[in-house]
Amino acid sequence: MIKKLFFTGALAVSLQLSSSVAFAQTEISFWNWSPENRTQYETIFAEFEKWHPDIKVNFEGYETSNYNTVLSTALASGGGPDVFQVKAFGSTEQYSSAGYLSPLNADLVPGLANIAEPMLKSVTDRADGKIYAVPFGTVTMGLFVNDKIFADLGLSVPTTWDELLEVSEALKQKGLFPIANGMATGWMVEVFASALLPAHHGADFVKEVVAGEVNFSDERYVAGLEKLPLLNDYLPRGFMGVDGPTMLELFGAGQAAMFISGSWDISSFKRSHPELEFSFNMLPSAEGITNPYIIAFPDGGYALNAKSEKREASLELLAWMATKEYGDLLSAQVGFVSPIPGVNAEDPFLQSQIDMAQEAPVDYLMGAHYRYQDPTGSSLLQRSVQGLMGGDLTAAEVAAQIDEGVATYK
Amino acid sequence: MENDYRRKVWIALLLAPALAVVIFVIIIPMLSALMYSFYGWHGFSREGFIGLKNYQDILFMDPFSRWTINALANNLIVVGSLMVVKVGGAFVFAYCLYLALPGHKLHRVVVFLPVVLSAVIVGGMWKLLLNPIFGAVNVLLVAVGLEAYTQPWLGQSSTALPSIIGVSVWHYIGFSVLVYLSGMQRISSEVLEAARMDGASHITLMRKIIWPLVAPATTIVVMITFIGSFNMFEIPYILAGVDGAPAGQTDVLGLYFYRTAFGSAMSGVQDFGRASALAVLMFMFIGVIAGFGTRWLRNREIEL
Repeated sequence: MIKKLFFTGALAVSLQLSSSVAFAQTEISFWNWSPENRTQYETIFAEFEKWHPDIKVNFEGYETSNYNTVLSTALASGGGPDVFQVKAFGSTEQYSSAGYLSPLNADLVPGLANIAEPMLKSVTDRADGKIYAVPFGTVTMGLFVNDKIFADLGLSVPTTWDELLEVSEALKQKGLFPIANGMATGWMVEVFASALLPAHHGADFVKEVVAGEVNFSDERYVAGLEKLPLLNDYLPRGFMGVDGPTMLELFGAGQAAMFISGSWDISSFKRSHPELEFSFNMLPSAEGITNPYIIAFPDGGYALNAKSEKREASLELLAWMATKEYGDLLSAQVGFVSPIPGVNAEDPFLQSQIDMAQEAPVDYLMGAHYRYQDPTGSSLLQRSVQGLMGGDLTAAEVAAQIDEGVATYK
Repeated sequence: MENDYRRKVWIALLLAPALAVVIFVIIIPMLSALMYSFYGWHGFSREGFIGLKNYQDILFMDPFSRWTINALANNLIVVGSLMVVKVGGAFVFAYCLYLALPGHKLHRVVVFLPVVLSAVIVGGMWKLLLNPIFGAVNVLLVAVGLEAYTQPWLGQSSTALPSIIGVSVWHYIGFSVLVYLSGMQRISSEVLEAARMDGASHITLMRKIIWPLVAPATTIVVMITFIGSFNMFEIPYILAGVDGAPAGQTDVLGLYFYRTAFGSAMSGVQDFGRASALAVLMFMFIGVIAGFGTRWLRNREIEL
C-alpha cells in the first residue's frame, strides 16, 4: 500500500518537473563593474527579453575596485557568469590566455564584421590573434567644470595649464575647492595622472616609450610628474584621504568647481545631482601638447565564459549586443560612445565626446600598453603617484619605481 | 578486551568528522599551496615546474622584495603596537574592572560590544568616521576648536597605519580584557587581602602579584594577538584598499598576499605561484615564532 503510494507520488512529481522544464526560461548571468547602473542595464535587458522571451538575463554589478578579484575567483573555481565585461587590452588577454574566454568571430556574432579594426584589436589576444569580446564602447577622460559657479564668478574653462592654475587660485579665494580629486582611491589616482601628464610629456614620448626607445625616467615624463604636486593647494582639504565617493559628492554638491575624471561619471552626475549644471571639456595644454586634448580609449568588451553551460542563449545575447539597437540603448541609458556604426548620439554630451575624440585624441598610456604583466604599469603608477602627492616620493623616484617594475616583464 | 577495542572504535568514529574537516579544510589546502608555490603561473593557468624561483622573486627581486620587506615591516610595527596596547592596555583595563568600581558592569559590556561586530561593519563605520571632510572625527575636532588637529587620517603616511592599529584595538581589545578579567577572578582573594594589608599600592599589586598569577591568560592573549596581527586583513582592506594606500604605507602581509593572488583594483594581474610562496613563508614564520613563543610562555606559567 505504502509502496504504491510512494510510486504514484514519485511519478506525479517527475511529471510535474518534466513539464515545467519544457517551459523553463534559460537564465543567463551577466556581470560588469557598474553596480550604480543596475536600473539602466535592467531596462536594456528588458528590451532583449521582449524579443527573446525564453531567455532571462540576470544582471550583477561589482564595484570597479573589486571587479577583477571577484571575477577571477569565480572563473578559477570553474563557475562564473555566462557573459561578462572585460577591460580592453591587457585585461582581456589575462583572461583569454588562461583559457577562460571563448573566441568569437563574425559567424557567431554577426555584428563584429561592422566594428572598426582598432576597436577589435583592443579585445584580441596578441598570441593567437582571436577576438575574445564584443567591444562596447569608447570612454574618454576629461575635465568636468561646474558651469554655474564659473558663470557666477566670470571664469572661463581653462585651456592651458597656466589658465588652470589661475582659475584654481581664483576659486580658492572664494572659499571653494578648485579641483575635487583626492588620492585615496587607487584607480582614480591613475585617472588623475594619466589625464594631466600628456600635456607635459607629449605624444612623441608615448610612441617612444612603448617602442622601448626610452624609459619612464626620460626627462619629459619626469617633468610632467613634477607638475602634479603643484596642484596640491587646489585639491580638497585632506585630499590624501578623499576617496571616490567623496570626490563625486564634492563636485556634485557644488563644493568643488572642477573634477578630472572620465565620461563614465557623466551619467552618474546626471542621476545623482540632476540640478547640477556641468560640462565635460578637453584637458588643458602645456609645453608637451600645445592644444587642448582628450584621452580616448576602448573601455572593454563583453566576453563569453568558455565553461558556460548556456552557450546558445549567451551567444544570442552577444549577437544582440553587437547590433545598432543595443548600441542606441547603451548610449541612451549609460552614455558610452558605441563602436557600432550608425548609432546616433542625441545626448549633447555624447556628441561632444565624439567630436573631441576625433579632434585631439591621446592614448591612455598605462591602460592600453602596460597591463599585460605583473606588476602592471597601472598599479605602479597608482602606488607611486600616491607617494608623490603625499610628499613621500620625488618625481625621479616615481619614474624609477615604474621603470623597476616594467623591467621585470619577461 | 573486546570492550577496549569497541571503545577505541567509538573514539575513532567520533573523532572522524572533526579530523575530516581539519584534513580537507586545513591540511590539504596548505599542502596544495606548498605545491603551487613551486610552479610558474600565468594568471590562473599553471605552467611548468620552476622550483624555488617564486621564493627567490619575492625575497630577492625588486620590486617584489621591496614590497615584501615593506609589508613585513608594517606587520612588525602592527604586532609591536598591538602587543603593548592589547596586552598591556587590556591588563590595566581588566584590573580596573576587577576592582569593581561603580559602573563596572556597564563598562564590561561596553568594552566587549565591538568584538561582537563583524570586521566589515567596523571597517565601514570607521572609514566614514575618518573621512577628512565629512567624517565625524574631524567635524568634532573643529566643533571643539581643535581645527589645527584635523587631518586626512587614512591618507597621510604618518597617521594611516596608526589609524588602522587604533581601529583594530577598538575592535578586539574587549576580548583580551575579558580573558584577563576571568584570569584575575580565579586568583584567591586571600592573597590580595594579605598584600593589601601589608600596604601594597595598586601598582605593586598589579606588577608583583597579579601579573605573574595571570600568566595562563597572558599566554592566550599574547598568542592570539600575535597570530591575529600577522594575519590582519579585513580592517586594512576596508580602510586602505587592497593596495595598502597611501603608497603602501598600510600594506600588510595579508593585503600583499591577496593582491598577488587575486589582482588589485582594475589593473592587477594575478600570480598564484608567488602568492602561494608568500603564503607558505608567512605560515612558516608565524608557525615557528608561535611555536617557540607558546613553549616559552608555558614554561613561564609553570615557573610562576
